[in-house]
Amino acid sequence: MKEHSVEIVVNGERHHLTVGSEMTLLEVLRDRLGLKGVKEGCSKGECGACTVLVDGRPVNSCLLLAVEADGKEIITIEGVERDGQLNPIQEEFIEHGAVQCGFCTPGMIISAKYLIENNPDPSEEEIREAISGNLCRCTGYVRIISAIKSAVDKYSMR
Amino acid sequence: MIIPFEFEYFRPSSIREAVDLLSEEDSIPIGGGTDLVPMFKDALIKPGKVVSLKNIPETHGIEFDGERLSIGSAVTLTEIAENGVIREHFNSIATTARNVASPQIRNLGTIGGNLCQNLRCPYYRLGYPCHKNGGKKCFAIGGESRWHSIFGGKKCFAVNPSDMATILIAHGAVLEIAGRNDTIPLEELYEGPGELSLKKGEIITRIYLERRENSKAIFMKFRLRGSIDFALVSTGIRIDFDGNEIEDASIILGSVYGTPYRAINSEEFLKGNTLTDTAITKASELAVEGAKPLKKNKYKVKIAKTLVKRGLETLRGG
Ligand SMILES: Cc1cc2nc3c(=O)[nH]c(=O)nc-3n(C[C@@H](O)[C@@H](O)[C@H](O)COP(=O)(O)OP(=O)(O)OC[C@H]3O[C@@H](n4cnc5c(N)ncnc54)[C@H](O)[C@@H]3O)c2cc1C
Ligand code: SF4
Ligand code: FES
Ligand code: FES
Repeated sequence: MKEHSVEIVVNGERHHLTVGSEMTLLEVLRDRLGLKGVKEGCSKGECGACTVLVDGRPVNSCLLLAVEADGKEIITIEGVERDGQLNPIQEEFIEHGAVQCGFCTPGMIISAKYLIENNPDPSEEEIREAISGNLCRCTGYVRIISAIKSAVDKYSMR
Repeated sequence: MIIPFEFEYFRPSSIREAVDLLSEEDSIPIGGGTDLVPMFKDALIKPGKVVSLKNIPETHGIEFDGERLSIGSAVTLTEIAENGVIREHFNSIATTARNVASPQIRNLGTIGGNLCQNLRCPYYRLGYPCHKNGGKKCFAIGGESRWHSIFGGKKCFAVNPSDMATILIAHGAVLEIAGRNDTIPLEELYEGPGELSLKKGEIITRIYLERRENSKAIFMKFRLRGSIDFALVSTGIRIDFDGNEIEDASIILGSVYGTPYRAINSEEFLKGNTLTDTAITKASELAVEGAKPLKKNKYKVKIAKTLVKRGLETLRGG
């Protein structure tokens, strides 16, 4: 079969789509659903700019065939805010100046979200490990790490 | 970047069906696709049929009966890294999984795919017309050879990049292959750079290994960036002790040769010995005995020797 009908829930919204076997989830999210917050950097699994949550876990959407996302729940950066209210991680990235060109930011925030929601008190080592698949060419990571640390505190106060 | 050709995709739910599909010409199995999808994008492999192994019950689950550990081939590296039983009884394997690639890749990548992954030689991946891309030449010889074999080769000098193979061979893992009656030692999967002993249509269904009494194991990996890089050299070491004396030793080096490399001289030397400073130094020298580095990779010999030394020192220590 070259074409497949798939059902995916993206940021809480259900979509029925027909996809070619050769399409990646990244193409579907960006080009079919218009979710341009999902970035395409290397397209080979190396940079993490395309990171999204699939059934709660961060994966490289450039490596996942769209047909394999059938039946899964996907969260992209567009689904991180709530009712126009930024998520604490987003707020802290702004507060700490952890965004320069911004290309890595959506993937970084998705990786950080997975970490914080699964490990309420991560060590610096665990924070570094959690974003080890997300490359940033601009910031030198220091501000990103301090933003995530502050977000951890904010989450724990929620 | 898109995959520039079309193919059929199948997701069989039984081994029978998968084997039938994979016996057809022009078909290839896919696990997590973290190795294959980038190769598709570069049209290095252009199959007509892609067969997912992830919907087959027999390729899933991690089981331990107190003696034997059984891991399905479609189990992800994250599942291995996080599994309680593996962490308790085979921690070196959990550590290895945790040191592969990135969290995102470990969430997709399977153990079967890790063991069967393709070569990482940059000439090959960039589509140079070398032996492995259907050409008549090796570009690494006389070119950039810093990542390549330090123990020689025939035509191709690319290394086997699998971290999991290194530690699992040290543990004496065996493979269950669909359609075969007997398991085979994992070591026998590897015949040469990018060459596996699987025949067309054959797939790995499960990986087994035995727990040993009085045994210690460790995985070490040297890479340039601590985050996502492949190993320049890795080692999986397992030592079985009888008191202080070494009863049996397995020392496997990864990313140094076309297949995982067994440091057999070093193993033989250690048997019957104890882990004294002198024995450790001698064993680490023997591990790289006979090395034939290429123009630009002498440094890897030193790294291999040092990793073995540090590995043995750590095993002695705790
Ligand atoms: C950026 C990056 C960094 C990486 N770093 C590392 C690293 O540090 N260490 C490391 O070891 N690896 C690394 N990898 C390789 C990574 O792809 C593997 O670790 C991963 O486990 C492959 O599994 P997969 O299921 O995605 O394989 P796939 O891409 O699905 O398959 C790989 C190969 O195995 C075959 N195959 C899959 N399953 C089976 C089976 N059950 N039986 C027979 N054949 C099968 C496929 O046909 C294919 O040829 C890295 C990859 C990337 C992209
Ligand atoms: S080492 Fe192997 S894969 Fe690399 S250029 Fe030479 S023949 Fe090709
Ligand atoms: S675009 Fe997916 S990892 Fe770089
Ligand atoms: S802010 Fe530019 S890549 Fe990270």
